Amino acid sequence: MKLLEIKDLTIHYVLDEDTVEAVNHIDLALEKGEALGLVGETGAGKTTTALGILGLIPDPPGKVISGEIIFEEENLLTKSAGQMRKIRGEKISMVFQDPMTALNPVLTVGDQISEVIKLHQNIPIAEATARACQMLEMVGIPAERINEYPHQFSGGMKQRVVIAIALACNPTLLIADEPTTALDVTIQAQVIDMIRDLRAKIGTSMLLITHDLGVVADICDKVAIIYAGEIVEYGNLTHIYNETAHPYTKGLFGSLPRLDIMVNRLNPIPGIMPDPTDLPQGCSFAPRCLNKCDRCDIEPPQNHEISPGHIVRCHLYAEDADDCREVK
Amino acid sequence: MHKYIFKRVLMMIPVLLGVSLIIFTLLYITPGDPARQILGPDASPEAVEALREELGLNDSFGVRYANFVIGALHGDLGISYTTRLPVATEIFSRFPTTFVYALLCTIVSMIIGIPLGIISATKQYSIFDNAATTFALLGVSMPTFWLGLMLILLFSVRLDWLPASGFYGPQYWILPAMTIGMNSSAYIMRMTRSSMLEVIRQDYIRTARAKGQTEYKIVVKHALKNALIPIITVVGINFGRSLGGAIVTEQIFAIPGLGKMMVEAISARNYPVVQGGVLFIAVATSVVNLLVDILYAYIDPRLSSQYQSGKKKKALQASEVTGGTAK
Amino acid sequence: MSTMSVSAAKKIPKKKSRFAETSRLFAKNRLAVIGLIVLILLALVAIFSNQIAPYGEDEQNLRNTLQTPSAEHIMGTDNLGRDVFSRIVYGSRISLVVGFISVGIGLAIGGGLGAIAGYFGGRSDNIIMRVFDMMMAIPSMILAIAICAALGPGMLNTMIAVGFSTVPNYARVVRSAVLTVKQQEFIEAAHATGSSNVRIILKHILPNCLAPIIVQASLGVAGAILSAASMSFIGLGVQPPTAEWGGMLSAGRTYVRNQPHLVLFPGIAIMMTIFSLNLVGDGLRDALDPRLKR
Repeated sequence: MKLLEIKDLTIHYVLDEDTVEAVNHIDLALEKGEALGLVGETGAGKTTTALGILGLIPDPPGKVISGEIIFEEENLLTKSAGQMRKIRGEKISMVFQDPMTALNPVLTVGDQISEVIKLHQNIPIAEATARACQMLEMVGIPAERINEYPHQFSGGMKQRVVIAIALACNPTLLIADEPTTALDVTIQAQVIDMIRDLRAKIGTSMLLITHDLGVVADICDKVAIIYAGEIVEYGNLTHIYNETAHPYTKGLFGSLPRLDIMVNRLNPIPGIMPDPTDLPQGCSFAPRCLNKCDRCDIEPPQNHEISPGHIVRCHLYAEDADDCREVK
Repeated sequence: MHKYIFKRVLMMIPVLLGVSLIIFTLLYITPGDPARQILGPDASPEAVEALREELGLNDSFGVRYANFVIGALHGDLGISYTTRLPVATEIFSRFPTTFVYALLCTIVSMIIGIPLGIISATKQYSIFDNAATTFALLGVSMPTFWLGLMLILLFSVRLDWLPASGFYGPQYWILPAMTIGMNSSAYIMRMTRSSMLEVIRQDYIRTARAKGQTEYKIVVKHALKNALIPIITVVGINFGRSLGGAIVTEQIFAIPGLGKMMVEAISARNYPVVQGGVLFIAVATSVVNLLVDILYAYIDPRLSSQYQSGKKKKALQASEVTGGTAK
Repeated sequence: MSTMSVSAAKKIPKKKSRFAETSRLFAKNRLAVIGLIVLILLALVAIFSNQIAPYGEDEQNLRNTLQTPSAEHIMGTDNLGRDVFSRIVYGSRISLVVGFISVGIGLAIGGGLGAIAGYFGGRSDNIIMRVFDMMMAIPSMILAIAICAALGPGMLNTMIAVGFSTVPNYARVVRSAVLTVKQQEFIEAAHATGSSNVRIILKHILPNCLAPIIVQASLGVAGAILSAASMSFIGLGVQPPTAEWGGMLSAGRTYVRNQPHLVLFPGIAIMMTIFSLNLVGDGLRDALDPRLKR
C-alpha cells in the first residue's frame, strides 16, 4: 500500500524580481515501511519537497503551484492549517539538517521532547516527561540529562535529541533532511546506525534526503535522484546502483572516489546547476550533459519506465530517440 | 552567580570614581562664582570671599576633589548652596517621585510596545505592521517636550480632563506617563519587532512548527523568550534614563523629581547638588544595568553558564563527554 | 562544449557595485525615499533661507504681536511680533548644522578612538573603553547639559556638548565593527603582504565597517537635533534671538493656552526633520543589511 504519493508537485518561490522554480512536476511514491532516498546536489529542491509535504513552505515567498500530496489516501494540500498541525509531529515528523540551530536554546531538551508528546497525546504531564526520558535513553543519552539545555550537548548529541523529538509520537513517516551533513564523520556513522536501528524497531517509513549515495545504499530501499527540481531517475537500489540510466546519475557516480577501481582522477560533472530562476527551455541537465543531442535543448524530456519500477526522465530512453543514442 | 554579582559590584567602583572625576572637572572649569551666585550681586567682596573660604572654593582642585570623594564615601555629598540642606537629603526626598514615575513609564511602555512589536513581526508587511511601524517611528521622532505640551493643550486646556502640572495623585501621573510612555513604547516596539523578526526565521521555530505546535504557542513559548534579551536591554536603558530624571518632561509637568533638581542646580551653579546628583544617577544606572544582566541569565541558559565559575564549566564539559559515549 | 560555455557565460549576472546595489534597495523603500526628499527640501530651505523667508530672522514688530495665522503671517507672530514662519525657515539652518556637526564631532572622536581600541586591542582597548564606560554611566542628556554649562551657552558649545556626549556610542559601534572585520582572513592576508597598520585601517577595515557607521550616524543626526532642541528648551544651548526650534518652543510655552500655534509649528518642524532622518536611517539600514528583509 502506498503511504505517500506525490503527484506533479510544483513549488515556486515568488520573489520581487524573479521566481525561483524550486520544485517542478515531481512524482514520488513511498510504500509503507519503506525507506526512500532523495538524492541531489545542494539547491536541487530536496528540502523544499520535504517542507512541502509538511505544509511548512514559508509563504511568502513560497507557493505551491500545482500537484497533490497523498498521504494515507488523503491529499495534504487540501487540508486546513489545523488539520495539518495534527498530522505534523504525530503522523509525519522531520529531522532537520543542522542540529546546532534546530533546538530552541532557551528550553531544556526535556521540554522540547515532551512538548510534541503533550501536543498529540492526551496524557498527564508526568507521563509525558517519563516518555521523554525513555526517548532520550532510546537515542543513547542518559535520562538524567533531561533538564539540561541544548548548549550543554555536543553536535552529535543534539542531533540525537532532534531524532528523539521526531520519533516521540511513533510517526508513520519520518523525513530526515541531511541528518548527518553537519556532523563529524565519526559521529555521522553513529547517527546513521542509530536511525537504521530505530527504524527497524519502530517500523517507521522514511524519506531520507541526502547527497550521499553511500548512506542511501546503506539504509534505503528506493532511490530518487533529483536535479533542478525534477526527479530524473527513480528506482530500487539495483536499478540505480547497477543499472544506472540517467546521464546525471552516471555523473554522480563518476564523481565519487572509489577504492575498487584504479582511476587517475575523479570525473566531476562539468558546469554548475542551472539558475533556478532561469531554467533551460528543454532538459534542465542538457547544458552539462555528455549525451546531449539537439532535441534536449528544445523539448523537456518525459518519464520513461525502462524496466518495471525504474523510471528515467531523459530523451535517451524515448522510443524515437535514435539520433540521440548515435551520438553516444 | 554570587561571585559574578560581587565582581560586577567591584567593577562599579572605578566607574563611579571616573564619573565623579569627569563631573567634578566639568564643574571646576565652569565659569561663574557660586558664592557670588548665592549672595547676589549686591554682596560685598569681603562677604563673597568669606563664603568662598567657608565653602572650600579657594582650595586647589586636588584638595577639593579629595574632600568630595572622602565625603561621598561617608555618605556625605555636601550641603546644597541654595537650600542649605544636605545633598543626600535633597536627593532622597526627590528620588521616590522619580522612581515611581520611571516605573510607571516603563510599565506603560512595555504594555504598549511589546505586544505591538510582536504582532508587527508576526504579520510582517501587513497593513497593521506598516501602520504600527510608522506610528512607532513617529513616536521616536516626536520631541517629548513638544508631545507633553500638546497633551497638556489637548487634555488640560481644551478638554479640561486632567491637571497640567504637579505630582500629587494618580490623575497627575497620566499625562507625564503618556508623554514618556509614547516615546519609550515606540523604542520598545521597534526593538521587539526587529528582534522577533530575527528569531522567527530561526530553524528552531521551524522545528516547533514541524511538531504541530500552534502559531500562538510558537510565538509565546518559543520565539518571545529568545527575542527577549534585546528587548530587556532597551527597557533597561529607558528605565535607567528615566531614573536619571526625565529632565525635560519633569520641567514641563513641574514634577519635583531628580531631573528638575539637576537642571535647577546646574543653572544655579549649585555644585554639590550637581555632583551628588550625577553620582547618584550613575549608581542607579549601574545598578539597573547589573539587574538587567542578571535577568539575562534567567532568560538565556547559555549566559548563566557563562557567568558560572570556570570550575563548574569544566565539570559540565566532562559530563558531556561521558554522556556522549554512554549508549 | 562550446554551446555550454556560451550559455554559462550568459548566466553570470552583471557584477553590481555595492553602492549601486544599496541605492537600488533604498529606492525601493518608498518611505525612505520620501524621507530623503523631505530632507533635501529642508536642506534647500536652509540654504535659501534669505530668499524664502518673507521677514527677517529677528524682525520685530511690537504693534503686531501674538497674531494667529493669517495670509500675512501664515504661522502667525510671536510675543515680539516676529513672523513665526520666517523664524522656522531660519531655524532649519541651526538644526541641520547642529545635527550634522555634532555627529561629525562624535564620529571623529568616538570613531577614531573606537577604531584604535578595536584594532590594537589589549591595553589601549582596555583604557579607552573603560573611560567610555564611565561616560556611559552618566545619562547623555545630563552629560550634555553639564558640558554646555561648563562651556557656556551658544551654538558652537551646543555642538561640542552634544557631540561629546555621544562619543561613547560611536566608539562602541566602530569598535565592534572593527573587531568583526579584523577577524576576517583578508586582513590577515594584508598583514602577510606587509601592509602598514594605518594602511590596513584606512584601506581595508574602515570601508568594510562603513555600513553600521553610516546607519548609526544617520540616526545620530536625528538624536543630535533632538538633544540640541531639548537644551535650548531648558535655556541652555543656542540663545535667543537666534531662531532655534527648541528655543522657539520654550518661548512659546508661556502662551500655550491662547496661542498654541507658537508651540505647534516649531514642534512640527522638529518632528518632520527627525522623522525623515529616521526614515532615511532605517532605509539605509535595511538596504545595507538585506538580511533583515524577507
